[in-house]
Amino acid sequence: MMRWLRGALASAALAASGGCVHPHAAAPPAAVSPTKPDHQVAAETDVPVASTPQGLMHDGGEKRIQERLHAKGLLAAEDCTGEFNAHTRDALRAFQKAEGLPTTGLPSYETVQHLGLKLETVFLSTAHPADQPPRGGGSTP
Amino acid sequence: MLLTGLLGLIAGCGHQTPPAAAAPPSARSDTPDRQPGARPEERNHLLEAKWKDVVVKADKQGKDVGASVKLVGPEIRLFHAAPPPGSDEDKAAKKDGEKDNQDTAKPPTEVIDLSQELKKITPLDVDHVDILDGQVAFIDTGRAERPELWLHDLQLSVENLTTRLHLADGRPVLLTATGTLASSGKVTIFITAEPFEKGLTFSGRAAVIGLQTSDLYRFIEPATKLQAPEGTIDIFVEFDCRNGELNGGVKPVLKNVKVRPAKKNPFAVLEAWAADLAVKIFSDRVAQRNAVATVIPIKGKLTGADIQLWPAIFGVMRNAFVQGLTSGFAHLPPPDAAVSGVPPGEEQRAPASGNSSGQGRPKPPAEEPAP
Repeated sequence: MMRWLRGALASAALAASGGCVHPHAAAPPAAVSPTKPDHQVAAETDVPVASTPQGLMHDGGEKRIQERLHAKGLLAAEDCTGEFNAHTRDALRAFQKAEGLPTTGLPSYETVQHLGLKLETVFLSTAHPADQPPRGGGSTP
Repeated sequence: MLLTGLLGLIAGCGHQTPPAAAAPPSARSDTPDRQPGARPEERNHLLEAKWKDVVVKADKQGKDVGASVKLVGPEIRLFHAAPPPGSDEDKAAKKDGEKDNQDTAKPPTEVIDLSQELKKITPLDVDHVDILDGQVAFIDTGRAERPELWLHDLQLSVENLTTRLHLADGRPVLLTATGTLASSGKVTIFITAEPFEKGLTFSGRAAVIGLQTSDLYRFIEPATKLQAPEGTIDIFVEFDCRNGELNGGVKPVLKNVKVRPAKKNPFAVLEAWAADLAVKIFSDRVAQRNAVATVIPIKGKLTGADIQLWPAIFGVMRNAFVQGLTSGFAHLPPPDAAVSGVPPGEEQRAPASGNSSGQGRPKPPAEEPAP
């Protein structure tokens, strides 16, 4: 939570100071101060890294993906559990194949966009802090 | 940079200098041929790649333009000639590798900068790479038999490879990939990385599921003369590196594996060929503590001015897998009649699944095919 708050505050502060505008951004993203090196800004914004897709997502991110897959007839309703299970991976593979994407069965940014979802509604981002806090970490070795 | 690292995965061994320029073996008769398995046209090659189709798309993002590259049906062949395990050359290379890693981790010397090749496709900065239906062959030209290990049906996506922080949009680089190793091992890789951190920062998981040991032995057998054993092996790797501090674990799971005891470690061949000495990971396994433990914690320090993100990531994965393989087989029940109940020289059967006995250790990698 602290990490997220720190990132959100840093984003807000940087945005308030006149951040550059990203074409996909609904709100001003984390900007790069011309006086700060990238690594310093990165440390302030604390971009999440995680060892699992779930660790990279907001709570409910998997469910949103599953609902889209269900709407496309690729996933049964009872499999929309919010857990990233084998059925979901199979459905993602089928979707990726139909879309000409690498069929990994894993939720890449492009796959999520092709599903019609905004990245900021699924993936954690310091540029788009969501209402929900991130689930704790995700990096678990 | 990514493709540099991607190729560093296989080609970037720190213990080997690039193959000499195309001097035929006959012209160097006073020295042993280091690449007896190399065809003439391969003697000065580290890599050959061809693909059916390439699609480049440019995307304007404010004042910046990024490009995505999609390679369809690429066939990539990577050549590497490792010195025979245990040879003087091998020992010297390992010594050099250890020396290099005392204070700083040097980048692999064989890394191929394919990003320069991509510049020939597009002069734009590439921030997204897709590979569809790729094949990668790892060919050991250091042996006359030139054993090959293939990764089939490679599906790979790398996103957010921007070199500018504001274009990253607050999200990390994301690599997802799947494929089939040899004819049986289902490979899954999930990696996130933050290239703008001062120290290396990345996290990920990788798994090989159901790799038939006979497939693997086809690669190492020419040197070991071992009979192909039965059974499969799964290897799960999880790693997390924050500002250069690496932690993680490897979990090999052997299923119904039968092996014949060998005087030499058969995986020394694989280790010599595949291990990346430029990236050092340590296991805290104590030989007598966990005879059949299958969770091998790994740790290391990936610091130094020259160390690069992607070569380091793939170096960690390479070494973790090699360590998983060697440790998995090394900890089969010993060929001791008193222990195993089987006369020495008879086949040994591994436990049906891994036995995690790592109390108080880092969380073991999950036994899920997908992260």
